[in-house]
Amino acid sequence: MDANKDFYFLEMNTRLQVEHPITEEITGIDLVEQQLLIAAGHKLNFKQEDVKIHGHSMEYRVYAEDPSRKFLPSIGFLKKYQEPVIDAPGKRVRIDTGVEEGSEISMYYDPMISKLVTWGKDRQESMDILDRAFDEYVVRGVTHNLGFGKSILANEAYATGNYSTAFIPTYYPEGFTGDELNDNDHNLLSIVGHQIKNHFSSRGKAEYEPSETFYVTIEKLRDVEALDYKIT
Amino acid sequence: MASGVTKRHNVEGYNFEYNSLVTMKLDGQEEIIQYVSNHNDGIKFNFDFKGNNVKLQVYEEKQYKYKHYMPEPKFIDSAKVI
Repeated sequence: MDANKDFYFLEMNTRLQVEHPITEEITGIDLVEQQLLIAAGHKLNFKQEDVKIHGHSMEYRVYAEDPSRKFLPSIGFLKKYQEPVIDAPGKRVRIDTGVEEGSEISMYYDPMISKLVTWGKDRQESMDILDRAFDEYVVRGVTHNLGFGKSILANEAYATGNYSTAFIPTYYPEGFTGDELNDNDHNLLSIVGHQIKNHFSSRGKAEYEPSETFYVTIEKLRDVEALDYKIT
Repeated sequence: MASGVTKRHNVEGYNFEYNSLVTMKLDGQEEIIQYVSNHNDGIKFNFDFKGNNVKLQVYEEKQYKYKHYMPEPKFIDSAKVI
C-alpha cells in the first residue's frame, strides 16, 4: 500500500508454498490438514497469537540434476533409493517425496526427487542434521544435487549467514564439479579402500589373512588428479 | 602420507553395504562414505565423495609391483558386431 492508500498485489499464490514443511516443522501445525478441514467447512481453530515458533528448520530440494552442467535435469530410473534415517532425541529428518526405488525421473515433469527437511533446536543443529542426512541419502541411477548441498553447508559464508541471492554465481561461477579433496579426505579414502579391499578379498574364504601392505591410487575422475598412497 | 608421513589409525564398526554406504568409526569419529560400484578385478572401487566421482585403485604389494604388466583389457563394443 502506498502513501495514498492505493494497494497493489505483487503476487498472490492461493496454494501451499514449496517451503511449507518449514512452517509445519517450527509451528507444529499441519497446514495440509488445516486446508482440508477448511475445505470441508470447518472453522480455523486457532488464531495468529496461538502460533508459536520452536527451533529451526531447513529444507533442501533434492533434484535429479547436474550442478556441473548448469543444473540440467538428469532423467532415468532410481536404481537405488535409500532415505536417511536419523533417530536421535530432539533431532528430526523429514522426507516429502513421491518416488521409491525403481521410480522413473522422466523428462515430462519437474525432476524433484524429494524435499529433505531437518529440524533442530537452532540453525547450527539443523545444519548438522542436514549434513548427516546428505551423507546417508543414497540415490543411484541419476545425477543429483546431494553433493552440491553438502558443499553449500561447508561454505563459510553460508554457515555464518553472510550470503545473498548471488551465492551460487559468486561461489560456483563455473558450476559445481566437486569440492577439493584435502589430506584428511585422502587419508579417509585410503583407509576405506583398505577396508573394502580386505572385505572383497576375504569373501568365500574360510580363512583369510589380510595383506599387511596396500597401495592406493586416488583419482578424481572429473579433473584427473591422481595421488598414490601406500598403506601398511 | 603423500609426504612420507606415517600415521596410525583405529577403525571400529566397519560396515559395508553394496551399492550404498560404508560406515565405520575412524579414530572414534563416525564416517559415512557413499560407495557406488566396483570392478570385477577387485582393485577398482568408485565412490561419490564431496560431490566428486572418485576412483580408488587398491593394490596388494605384488599387484602394485606388477601392475604395469597388467594393462587394462580393451573394451570391445559388441553392439556393432554381427
